Amino acid sequence: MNAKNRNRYDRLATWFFGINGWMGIAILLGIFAMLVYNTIAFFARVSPMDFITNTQWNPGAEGPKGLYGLLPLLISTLLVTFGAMLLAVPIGIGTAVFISEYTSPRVKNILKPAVEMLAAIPSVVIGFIGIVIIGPGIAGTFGLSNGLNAMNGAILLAMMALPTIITVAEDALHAVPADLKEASYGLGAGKWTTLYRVAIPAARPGIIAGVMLGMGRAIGETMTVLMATGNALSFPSGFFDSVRTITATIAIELGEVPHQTTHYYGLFALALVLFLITLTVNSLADRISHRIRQYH
Amino acid sequence: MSATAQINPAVEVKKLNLWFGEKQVLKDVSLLVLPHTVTALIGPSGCGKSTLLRSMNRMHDLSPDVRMEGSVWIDGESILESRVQVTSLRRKVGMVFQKPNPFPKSIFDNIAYGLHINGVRKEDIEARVISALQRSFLWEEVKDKLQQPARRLSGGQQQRLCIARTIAVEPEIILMDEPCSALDPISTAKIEELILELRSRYTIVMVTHNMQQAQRVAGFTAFMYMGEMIEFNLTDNIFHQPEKELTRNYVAGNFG
Repeated sequence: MNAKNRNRYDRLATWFFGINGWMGIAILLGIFAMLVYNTIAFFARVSPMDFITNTQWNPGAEGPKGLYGLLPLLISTLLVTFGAMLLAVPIGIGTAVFISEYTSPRVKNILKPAVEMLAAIPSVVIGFIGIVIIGPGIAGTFGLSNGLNAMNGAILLAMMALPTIITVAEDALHAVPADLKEASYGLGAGKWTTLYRVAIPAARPGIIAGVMLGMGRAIGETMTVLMATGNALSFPSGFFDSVRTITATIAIELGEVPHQTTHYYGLFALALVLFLITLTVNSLADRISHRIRQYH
Repeated sequence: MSATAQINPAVEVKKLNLWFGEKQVLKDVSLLVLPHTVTALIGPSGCGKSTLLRSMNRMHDLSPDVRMEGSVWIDGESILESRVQVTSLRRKVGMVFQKPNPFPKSIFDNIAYGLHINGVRKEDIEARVISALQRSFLWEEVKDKLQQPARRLSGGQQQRLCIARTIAVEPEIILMDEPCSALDPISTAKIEELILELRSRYTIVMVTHNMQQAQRVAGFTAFMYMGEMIEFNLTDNIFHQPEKELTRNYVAGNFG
């Protein structure tokens, strides 16, 4: 290849990667702009104050005005997500520690792909499990007439967040340099002490990242919660109530709603709220892991 | 070495054989380390000197496919036996590693960690951290930044911190695995000075690639080759009147 050709290839590569890079950013910004644009259109019809403080989401009620209260949906989403995290974080970190520190390489080679396979189960299948197994199980255990509630959603979302948390946390634990553990053993520390006071703190940025990623997955999950949480529009008061999350609401209503109506714009406002939540979770994860990384 | 008969050795290795899987790494190795001396282990890469060192605090427990025969005695106790509590052994036999490996914690916490896990009372920890830093010639350099991350120190300072961390728990023996190989000459000189200072209180066994270093700091030197102990004597004898041809060739720099 002569010099002229090489120059041409270099220029071509610059263009190729440049276009790809800008396109990715443009798409993201485009989505964000669309959300903001439609949300503004919504707030031209319904005051933001009403949106935030109203305790009912009922766009069909009271003629054309309707009720556009974010709160029941937001509380539903948070209830299901935090319930899921309550289950998934301890189990996930525990599993990661077990795989990383307590198994033989042979067992690890079986367990890790198995966990990753859990992530490949389609969400509709998880929802199905919720309807036919876990939901009835909850109803039977707690003597409820209906097991399709927030707790059902939380358990299912925990199942869906687990592979992410386990995989990322295990990678982080595995990446803790052996010489750090040796230093700890060399001072007379036992296995548990080394794990608890050296390995886990050193892996903390990765563990937090895993938890946040799992949480992001849980917040944004739609199909499972749509199928398994009952989708009641009333204000939730606990884990045994049927709930309807932000994602499920958008999925249910966007297909039916006439375009360019208040209701239509309202769904975009919901989507923007969802987006802001995930953005906050992610930047928080970034900040935390960065703050801890300075000790490395 | 008739003088050794009266003194109890700090470490005694008796006919130690060690295999990693099928590969024999140590062959009938014996060694006698006198208290309050610096003993250097020298030899070409792969001769087993680090493996020998790591058998003295049972670091090999961490490798799954290791097998040992023979014995290592410390304080009249045969430490390779499984009933020996390895955590209390390592309290007695501290270790400094090749690459400085401070914990991702603050300077203070790096030293407090060992004290804490070994049950030192909270109110005593600060004094012992300070004392360990002073005895490692690090205090003047870090006294104003004890809460800063240890990883921000220079390589030489980090290694002295690792030594401080080790001596803070007051071991009897300190094992050093090429403690200066990752350091520049000035940092190396400081560590060597520190080793000579520590000799009065601790027994030191160090692996080194650097023959000048062995001559500068070690009273005794053991030369190993291909998993065998070729020659063990006063450092002066090893370097100036070696008994074996192999030793002579090695210290003359003919191979290695």
